[in-house]
Amino acid sequence: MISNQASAYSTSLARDERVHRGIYKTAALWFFRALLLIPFALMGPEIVSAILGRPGAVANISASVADVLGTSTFLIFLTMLAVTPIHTITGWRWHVILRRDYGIAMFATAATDITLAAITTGDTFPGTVLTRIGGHTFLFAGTLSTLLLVPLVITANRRAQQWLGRHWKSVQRITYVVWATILLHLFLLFGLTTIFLYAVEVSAPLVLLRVPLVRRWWDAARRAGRHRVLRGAAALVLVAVFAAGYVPLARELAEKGGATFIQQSSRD
Amino acid sequence: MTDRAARRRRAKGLMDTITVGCVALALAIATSQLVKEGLQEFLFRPPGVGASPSQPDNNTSAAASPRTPPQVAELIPPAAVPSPPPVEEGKRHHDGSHHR
Repeated sequence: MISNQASAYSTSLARDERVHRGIYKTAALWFFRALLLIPFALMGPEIVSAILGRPGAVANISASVADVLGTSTFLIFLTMLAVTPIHTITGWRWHVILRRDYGIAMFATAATDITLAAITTGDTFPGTVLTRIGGHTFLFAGTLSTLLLVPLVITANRRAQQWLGRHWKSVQRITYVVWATILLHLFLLFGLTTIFLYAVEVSAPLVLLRVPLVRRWWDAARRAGRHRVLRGAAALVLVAVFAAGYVPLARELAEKGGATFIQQSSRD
Repeated sequence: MTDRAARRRRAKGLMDTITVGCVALALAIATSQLVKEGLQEFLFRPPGVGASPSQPDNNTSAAASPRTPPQVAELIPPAAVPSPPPVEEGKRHHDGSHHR
């Protein structure tokens, strides 16, 4: 009787713990989803200003669109790419859904970026709309990256997964081509300096953890509970390298995005 | 089973067509611009176009800062202003409130 009661009590505790953990995971998921609104919130006042036809609004968008939406797109892309390595390192599964959400958000941000650039950057790139999205090598690389997101975003749902079957993964591998074209875009823009070097730095651990040999070894060691110290140390180094590239990019967005947002507020 | 496999192959074919279409569109835009503007214009961009430096270069930032033009006061020497005549206390108070 007593053992039955104890068993029922422990089952109830385990259920409560699961429920609590579920609540935390749901809250964390919505927190990470909410972050995706930041680029639109930062650009929002300037876009509204342009729609209302306020003087200087179009020039302001032209000056800030690449800094805010371009950097945001890249940060969202990096976060999306970090989902699988986080699973490899920790074994977590709760965050895997964010890969799809961040992919779709990346497309939305990139599409907004290219649309605003095509409309507003006439002062920097005189000519037609085509000049503004493909008039230079770096513009071509950026436009190609955005267009390559189209097949990815079309197939970023369960129905497409069933529709394509085993071919779904091969379509999703276009992500790696996008990765290369984004790095090319940044190289053509910045050369071997600042943002491009941060991009390479942040990409390095993400690439390493995708190497099949490394991934298989880490997965097997984690499941068997082996090499804990080695895995812990390696994870620390990889996170440090990732952060060394990611944090300056996030700071860049905070500075430029904050200035964009405040500029609008102060003008009003 | 075979029907499903064939359907999936067709789906893959459709996605391949969309992908090739997207690449072709980007290439067509770039090629048209290359022909229109010329190779030099397409390959090389003027400094500062399309990229704003994340950290301003201390050596050049002062020289190349188009957003901070010299203040008007620096360009136009202040005009000689005659000293105002002495004002009574009550009147000065009135003028101040009027401006507000």
